[in-house]
Amino acid sequence: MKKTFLSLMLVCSMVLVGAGCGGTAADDSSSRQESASVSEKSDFSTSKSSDAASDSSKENTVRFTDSTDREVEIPKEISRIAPSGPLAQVVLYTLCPDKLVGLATEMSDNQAGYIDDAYRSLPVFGNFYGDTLNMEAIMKAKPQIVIDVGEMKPSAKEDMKGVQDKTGIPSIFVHMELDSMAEAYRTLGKIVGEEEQAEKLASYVEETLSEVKGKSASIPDADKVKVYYGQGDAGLTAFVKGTVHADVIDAVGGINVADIEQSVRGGASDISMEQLMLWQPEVVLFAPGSIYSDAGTRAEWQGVDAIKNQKYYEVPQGPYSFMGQPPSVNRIIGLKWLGNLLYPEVYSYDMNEEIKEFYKLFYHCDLSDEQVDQLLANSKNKE
Amino acid sequence: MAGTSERRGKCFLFLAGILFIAVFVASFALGKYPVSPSELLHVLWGKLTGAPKDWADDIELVIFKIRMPRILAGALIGAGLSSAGAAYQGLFRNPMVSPDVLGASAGAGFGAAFSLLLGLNFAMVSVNAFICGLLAVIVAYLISTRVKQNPTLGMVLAGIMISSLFSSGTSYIKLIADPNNTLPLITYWLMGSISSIRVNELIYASIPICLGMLVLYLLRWKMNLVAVGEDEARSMGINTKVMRIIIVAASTLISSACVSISGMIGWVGLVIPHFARLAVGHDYRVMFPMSMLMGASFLMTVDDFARLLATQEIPIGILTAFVGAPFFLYLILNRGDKI
Repeated sequence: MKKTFLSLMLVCSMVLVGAGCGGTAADDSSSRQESASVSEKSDFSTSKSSDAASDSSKENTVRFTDSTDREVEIPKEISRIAPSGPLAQVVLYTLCPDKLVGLATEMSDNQAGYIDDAYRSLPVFGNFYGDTLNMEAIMKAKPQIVIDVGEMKPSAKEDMKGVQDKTGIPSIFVHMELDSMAEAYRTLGKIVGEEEQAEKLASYVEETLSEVKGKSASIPDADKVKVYYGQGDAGLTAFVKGTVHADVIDAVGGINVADIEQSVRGGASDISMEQLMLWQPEVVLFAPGSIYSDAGTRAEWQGVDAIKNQKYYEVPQGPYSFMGQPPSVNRIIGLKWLGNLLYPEVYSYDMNEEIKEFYKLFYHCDLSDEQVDQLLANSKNKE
Repeated sequence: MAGTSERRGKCFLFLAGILFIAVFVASFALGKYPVSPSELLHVLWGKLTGAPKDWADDIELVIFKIRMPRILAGALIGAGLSSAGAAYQGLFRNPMVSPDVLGASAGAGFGAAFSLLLGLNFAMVSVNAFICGLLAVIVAYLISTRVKQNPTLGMVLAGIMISSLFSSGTSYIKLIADPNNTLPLITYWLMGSISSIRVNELIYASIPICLGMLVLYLLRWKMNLVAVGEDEARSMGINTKVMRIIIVAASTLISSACVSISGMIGWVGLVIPHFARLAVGHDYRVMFPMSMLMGASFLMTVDDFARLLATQEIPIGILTAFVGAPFFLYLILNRGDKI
């Protein structure tokens, strides 16, 4: 009886975690193709009310077609927004922090140095893809619109329709992965009336992506570096190749050794040390909170060349990790950082300058040199 | 008549011992990293005789730093969970109980989840899992002492209730955990795994596990009497109340310590004692060591599969359920009279 309950609980939680981290690999490939045609269709058309005087509320709305082809009547002037998940939270914070009426996930204390307390103390609504979204809390905060941003999920259309039906608040989904990020920014900028900031962010994203594309294409296959990117208290939970959680590696021209079928946990998969020794990555990246600090002293890690050769690093963290978690715009600076780390000749950036610029533009904060040094403390080539 | 069955039991016990040794050795040769049997024997022999080292560093690392902790953990936890299960089943005279019936597993799971939420290191996770497991059983036991008519039933019911409370606590922790880091960690931990067990964790946990098993082993002939029934035991001059406390304490010590290092590995404590009983009968003097040996062999074998089936590690708790549940069903349907 108890066992059944427990296993049910486990299954449920696995499903939830799976759902929380996006779809499966199979969904990814199909959605990428369809989204390309869909996101172009996001368009605006001010609704022509046949009888102008009959309905004044119609006067203040526009009809918007979101990335799932859903037509939604949204207010023209938007000043109160609720994010429905952590990805949307990051994106909207970079675009229009003062319009957020709440958060999807609570901000932790280590984000304090980068994000003003005023934002950190906003009410927390929860995350739709994690089944913790509190509809009543959203209604209480009186947003004019609920926005979800992220990977195209097969159920996205129904999901956001469900939120809208329940709360009565217009709810839209905007598709955003690395390739569609600039476009998504422009779309969001139009919706929330922040075109100028959106254009700044979009062009930064576009510039970075095209730079990175060119640079990574210039790296001959023979020189490509084999990378392992892991997390967890054993460091053996691998971020799988071909998922949004690890696409920074692919984008800069690294070879993610964890080229395996995805597990239920959405992009992360536990492997054994023996498997890692077979892969022999040249560089090991540990996610924040993993075992970077004692990888050098753990006996079982000494069979990995990257550890022996001191080529292991911790992904910078604050306010968000450079590699994802959540896989949002934070990956843009991650591209520059990882490119510079793996191929310093090709990605010859001054990381200090780059990081300051990115933080100013996206996170609205001025970093001191000390803060940059602190960010990169475990993430630079060891002299 | 009794002589033959005793001889049969001894014979089976001997076979189980041989099987245990065979699985133990074979497990060293099984894994993703290729180590041929001849290399394995060469390295083991070299280590034993102190011969000069003429093998690759990596081979030695795989054998002694990666596989050995797993194999020892599999043997220790398998034996521990099975012996605790055998003891509980005898104590409650109920074949359907297992180490988690008194809330030991759920309590330990909660303790671990809470520690992971606070971001404590692995040593503290284990310690807290252990403390919460004990706490759950103590509370369940105290409740059961208030049930005057049927303390055994009281204990089982209290255990179910406490388990449920702790499981809900764990669910709540999952709800508030950081979905990027902590939540997968907790979820995975709850699935049970011995793939990345570390030697010092193993040493810490082996003390309470071995201590508990030793106590139960020494009491095995008294378990026979307790398993027969309260009145009979009392007429033989055994203080059943004290016995019950000792057996519960020892079994809980084992279960919590197991859960604290491996997470939740289900079915072993429930199913293995039944197999032992099928093989050697109900005499605890033989059945108890049989459970230990079979449990150890079983979990080592399942862990071999966990590391070989796919590129990724498969949580061992999932596999034990896949293997244990159908076997248990078979037992109930076909050998119900023997249980």
